[in-house]
Amino acid sequence: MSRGDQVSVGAVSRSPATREHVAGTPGVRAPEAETALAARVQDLAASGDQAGARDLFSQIVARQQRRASRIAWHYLRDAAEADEAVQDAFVKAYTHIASFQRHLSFEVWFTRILINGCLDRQKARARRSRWLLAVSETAVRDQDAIERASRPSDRSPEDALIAREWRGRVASAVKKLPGRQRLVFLLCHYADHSTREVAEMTGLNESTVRVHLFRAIRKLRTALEERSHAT
Amino acid sequence: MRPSDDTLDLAHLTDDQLVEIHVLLSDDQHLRACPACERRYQALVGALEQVRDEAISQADVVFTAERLHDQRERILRRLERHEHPAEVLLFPSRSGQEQATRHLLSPVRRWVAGAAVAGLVAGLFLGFAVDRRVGSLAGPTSRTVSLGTTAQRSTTDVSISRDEEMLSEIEDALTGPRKVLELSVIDMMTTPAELQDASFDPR
Repeated sequence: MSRGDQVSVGAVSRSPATREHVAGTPGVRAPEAETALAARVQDLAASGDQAGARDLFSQIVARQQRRASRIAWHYLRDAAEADEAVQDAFVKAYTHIASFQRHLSFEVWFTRILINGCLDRQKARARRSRWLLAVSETAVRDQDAIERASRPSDRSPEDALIAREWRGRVASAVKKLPGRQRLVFLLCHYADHSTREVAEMTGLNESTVRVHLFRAIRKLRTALEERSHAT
Repeated sequence: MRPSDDTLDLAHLTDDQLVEIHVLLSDDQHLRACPACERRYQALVGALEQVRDEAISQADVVFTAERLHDQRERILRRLERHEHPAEVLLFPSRSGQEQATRHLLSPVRRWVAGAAVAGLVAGLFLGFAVDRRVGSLAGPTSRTVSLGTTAQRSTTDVSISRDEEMLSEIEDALTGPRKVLELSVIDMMTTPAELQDASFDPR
């Protein structure tokens, strides 16, 4: 393989190749199939077959919920709140299925609903935090679970400690990003959407999305470089 | 593809340029030709992929299969509830109040209340009417009543003079000679003759 090929693989690995990899996990990334399912749900709901529409919609829920939960959790960093945000987004999508435009991707439409819900929750949380300083118990529990799960037995204690510190630094660096940069980074890197899809979801221009992504990665570079030096 | 000497002579790509290539997914000639820049680029891409993999695994630790199953169940229950919305009940006290009002405003009750009010009004009217009639029949009485004050005044004067009489009698009895007519007869009968002439003078 030539160098040019290697570069192109590296560059493209974030989009189609990675999508295939993520699609290996249950119910993730098959946007066209979900759009077709959503169109059928819309037809059934319009004909008055609510039970049929609901059954079909449950298939969309099964395919989308993991991806939606990941986005919501990374955005809100609280499992209980992310759970509620995902539920609300699905219920909202179902109740407003009549307004779904078939020429658009259901995934994009649904993610937009989810993000708006997460933003509302974040605003409400900011309002609450003005009066309350208590740390969410569920957030602490989740962090403990993550720590326990990310401790493979074959890793030396030093490696585990370095990895833990690096994770913490990356997480805090992502948290410190300005709102839009963080959102764009999450959607592009964690949810694996293209800049065009993110532009549709957020209502921003594609070029603006790219600028936000560029700035986000540049800000995260210090944390990323530490990892590349360590490995 | 073989790198040309011209491209290798150029200065190395900056970090920002590498990020830009990654974001724009652009194909850079220098990157293809320069092994050092390509290594740096691969390191950047690798680090970003690691960040993503870590993030996904973290989220999957929190959102286990069981949790997702529960979440799906809850979503479907909410959708079902949406199709069969619960009946909204009125606030208990308010409904009770309305029932009580309705009970009070039943036609029978309204008739009874109306009759009671009419009876009361009629009673008052009759009462006034009877009172006026009696008043007109007993005209002199009113005169008596008007003169009553003078009579009362005279009665008061009589009683005052009687009091004065009584007081003067008491005074006489106390100060005057003690002669009781009713007892003098008994006194005469019981007193011996020789003693009747003698008078007792304590002085």
